[in-house]
Amino acid sequence: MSNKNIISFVFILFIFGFITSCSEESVIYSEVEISEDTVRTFSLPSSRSKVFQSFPKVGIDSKLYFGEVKGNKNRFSLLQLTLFSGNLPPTEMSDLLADSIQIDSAMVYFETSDSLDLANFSLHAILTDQESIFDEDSTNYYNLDEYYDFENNSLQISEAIINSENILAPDTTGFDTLKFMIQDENLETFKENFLDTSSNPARTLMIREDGHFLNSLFTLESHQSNNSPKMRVWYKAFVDETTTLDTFITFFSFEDVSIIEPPEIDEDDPNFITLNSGSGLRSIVEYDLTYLDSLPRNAIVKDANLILDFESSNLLEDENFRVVVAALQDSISDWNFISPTDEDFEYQSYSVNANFVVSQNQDNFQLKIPIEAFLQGYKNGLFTVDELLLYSANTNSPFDKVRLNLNSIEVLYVEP
Amino acid sequence: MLNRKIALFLFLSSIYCQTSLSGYGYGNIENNSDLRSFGSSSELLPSFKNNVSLTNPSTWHNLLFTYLNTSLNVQSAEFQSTTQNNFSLSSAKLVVPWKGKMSFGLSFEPYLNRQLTISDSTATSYELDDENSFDVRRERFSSGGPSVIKMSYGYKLNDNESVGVTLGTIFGSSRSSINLIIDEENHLLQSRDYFSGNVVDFYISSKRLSFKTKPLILSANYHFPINGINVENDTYQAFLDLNDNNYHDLDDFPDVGQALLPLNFNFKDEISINSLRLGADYEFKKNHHLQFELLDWKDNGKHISNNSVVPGYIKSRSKISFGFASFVDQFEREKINYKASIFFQDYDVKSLENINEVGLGLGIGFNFGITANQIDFGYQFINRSGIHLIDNEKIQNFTIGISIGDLWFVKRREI
Repeated sequence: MSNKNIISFVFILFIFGFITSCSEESVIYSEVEISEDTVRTFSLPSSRSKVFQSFPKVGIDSKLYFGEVKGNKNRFSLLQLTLFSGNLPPTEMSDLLADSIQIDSAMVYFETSDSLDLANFSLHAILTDQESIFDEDSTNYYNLDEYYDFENNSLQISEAIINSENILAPDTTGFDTLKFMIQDENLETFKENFLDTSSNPARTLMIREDGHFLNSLFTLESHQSNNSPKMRVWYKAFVDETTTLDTFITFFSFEDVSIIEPPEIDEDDPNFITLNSGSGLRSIVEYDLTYLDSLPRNAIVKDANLILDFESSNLLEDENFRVVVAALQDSISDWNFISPTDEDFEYQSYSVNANFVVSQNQDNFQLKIPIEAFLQGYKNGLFTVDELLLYSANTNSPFDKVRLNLNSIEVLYVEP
Repeated sequence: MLNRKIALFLFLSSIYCQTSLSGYGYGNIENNSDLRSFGSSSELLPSFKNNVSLTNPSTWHNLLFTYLNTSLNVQSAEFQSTTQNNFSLSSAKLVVPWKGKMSFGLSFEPYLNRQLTISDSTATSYELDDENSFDVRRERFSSGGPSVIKMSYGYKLNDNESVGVTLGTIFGSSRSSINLIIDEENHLLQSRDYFSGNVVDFYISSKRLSFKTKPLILSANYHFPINGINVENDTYQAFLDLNDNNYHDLDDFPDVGQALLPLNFNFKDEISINSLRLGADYEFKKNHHLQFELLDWKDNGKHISNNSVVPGYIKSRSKISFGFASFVDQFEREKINYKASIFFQDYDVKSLENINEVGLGLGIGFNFGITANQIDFGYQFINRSGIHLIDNEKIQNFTIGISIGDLWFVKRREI
C-alpha cells in the first residue's frame, strides 16, 4: 500500500468518525438524586375588585338597538353622518345653505330586518360645538370633557309613527325601511341646527323611541351593515335666471352607537364582579402577587388559572359567553371611581398592556382563564401592575350579562 | 497541503466521547489520548519510536523527521447492562526536530470532556387533583469542554540530558442543561461555562545511568498552572421549550424576549492542577524496553461553581503504570513495533466515593515510507469501580493513530 493510499484511507476514517460521533445516546442511571422538590403549588388570594362602567364601544355592531332585552334598556342611538355627500362632485353639508339652494325636504332612513307594528320614533339633532362626539382614539362615543346630556341638548327634527296603518314588515329582500321625513316647519330647525356645520360640526342625530311601546328588542341596521343608514336631501339649485336644477344628494352614516341605560352597580359585595358589554360594565380584580417575588429565579409558572364561577347570568341555555382578561398598563389610582356619569369622581380610563390579553369561553357556567403568562411576566418584571381588567368579548351579545364569583388563583410552578 | 490538514484536524478534534467520569466536576481529564493508539500508558517514556515519546518534548530531538500525528478512537463504555459506543477524534500534533539538537511542537488537544447525559429511569407522578396528574422525569446534559493549544520546545543539553517545556493555553466552553420533563414537555435550565487559563510543563530526561551496561533512561515532568484556570459561567433563565429545539426562542415560554438576562459569574482559580510524573525506561535488549511510571496529580482549584453533573469532583489521583515496548530502527527491514502496558489508578473524589481503575493496553505500529511514517493500532481496556450511582464501568478503546513524516530544516543532500 502506497503512502498516498494509506493517507486517503485514514482521511476517510476521519470523515466517517466526524459523522458518526455526532450521535450520542443518554446514559440511563437507575436513579438521580433529588435535592428538593421541583414541583410546588401555592395560592394567590384576591385582594380587591371593582365593577365600573366604561363608555360603550362605537362601531363594533351591525345593529342599532331599541327596546328592552334581558333587562337592558336601550335609551337611544346616536348616528353621525358624513360631511360630504356621496355624489360627484362631493357637496359639503353646509353648501346646502347657500342662497342659490332651496331645500324642499330631507329624509333620514334606516333599514330593518325586524317587524314592528306599534312605536313612536323621534329624530333629534344633537347640539354641540365639538367636532365629534365620537373619540377616534378610544372608539367610545364620549368625546366631551364633561358628561353630555344628549337628551336635553338636542332638537327634534322629525318623527316616525308606526301603527296598524304604517307597519314595518320586511319584504322579500329581508328588509323594510324606517323613514324620517323632514319638511315644513321642521325644515328650518333642520337647516339651522344640523346642516349648519359651522355651529354644529358634529353632524350627529339621535334616534329614540318615545312611546314606550317596544316590549321586545327592535333593531336597525348600523353603519357597519351593507344596508347602512343614509340621509337624502331634495333641493332646487338656481343655476341662473332661466335654469333651475331639481335634484337630490345623499349623505351616508359614518359612526353610530346604541346607548344602553347604565345599570346600578352593586359595590357592597367585593366577591362578585359583573360584566356586560352593552352597558359598558367591566371589572378589575387585584391579586396579591408579592409572593411571586419570593419564587426562585428559575421557577416556571406551569399552571395558573383565573377561575370565575357564574353566580348569575341572563344567558340562555345554549348561549356562549367569552371573557377577555388583560393586564393593565397602569395601576388603579382611584378604586372608588365606578362611572363616568358620576360627577363626584374624575373620569378614569384604563389602558391595557398589550403583552397580556387572553380570552376564554365559559364552560358549564364556569370560566377558567389561563394566566401563566401574566404571572411569569410579573415575576420577570414585564408587568408591574397586579390588577387585571375583565370585560365581555365583542363576540358576545351586548345584552349578555354575567355576575361572577371570584376565587383564589391556584398556581403550579416547576423549577428545573 | 500540510496547513490544510492541520486546519481540518483542529476542527474535527473538538468532538468528544462519553464516559461516566465526564460528570465529575468540570469533566473528564483528557490526557494525551493519542497514547492510546500506541497501547501505552506512560507519557514520559518512549512509545512512538525508539527513545521518542510524542508526549515528552525532551525526547523529540531524537526524531529524524518532522511528524504530524493524529488519531481517532472508538470507545465502548459498559455499565449496568448498558453499552454506549462512541466514535471520536483525538488530538492533533506537529513535532519538528532541528538538527538533533532541539525541537519544536504545536498541538491541539481536548483538555476536559463534559459529554454526558443522564436521566431518570422512572417517572415521578404528581396529582394536582382527582382528575389531573402528570409525570415528571429529569435529565441532565452536559457537552463540550475546554481545549488546550500547546507550544513545546525541547533542547538537548548534552549527550545524556535533555529538557523540554510546554506552554499550554486553555480555552473553549461547555454547555450544561437540566431538563425537567413533565408530560413530555421539556423545562430547560441552561448554562454555559467559558474556560481560560495557562499551564506549563517542564520535562527532563537523562540517560546518564545504566544497569548491567544497558541504558536506563529517567524522565520527570512537572505540570502546574499559571494563576489557575478561570471559569466564567452564564446561567440562563429556565424556560419551557415549547418547540422542542433545545434553544430559547420566541416560541418558548417565557419567550426569549421576556426572559431575564443571564446571570454571569466569574470564578477564579476554579481548576488548578499540579502533577508530577516520574518514569524509568530500561532498554534491556536493543530496541526492547521495560517501562515504569508514577503519577501524582492534584487539583487544588476552588471548585466553587456548583455546575457538576454528579455532586463531586476529582481532587487527586495517583497512577502507576508498567509497560513493554519493542521498536524497530528506522531503516530496518522489520517494520513493526509492539507495545503493551498495564496501569492502576486511584481517584480521590471530593464528597463521593473514590474511584479505582485498572487498565490494560496493547499496541502495534507499522512503519512505512522513507520518512518512517507510522500507523498505530491500539487497544485499551479499563475497569473502573466506585463510580457514583453506577459503581462499575468497563471501557474499551480501539484507537488508530497516523503519523506522517516529512523532512524540514535539513538540506536534501544531507539525507
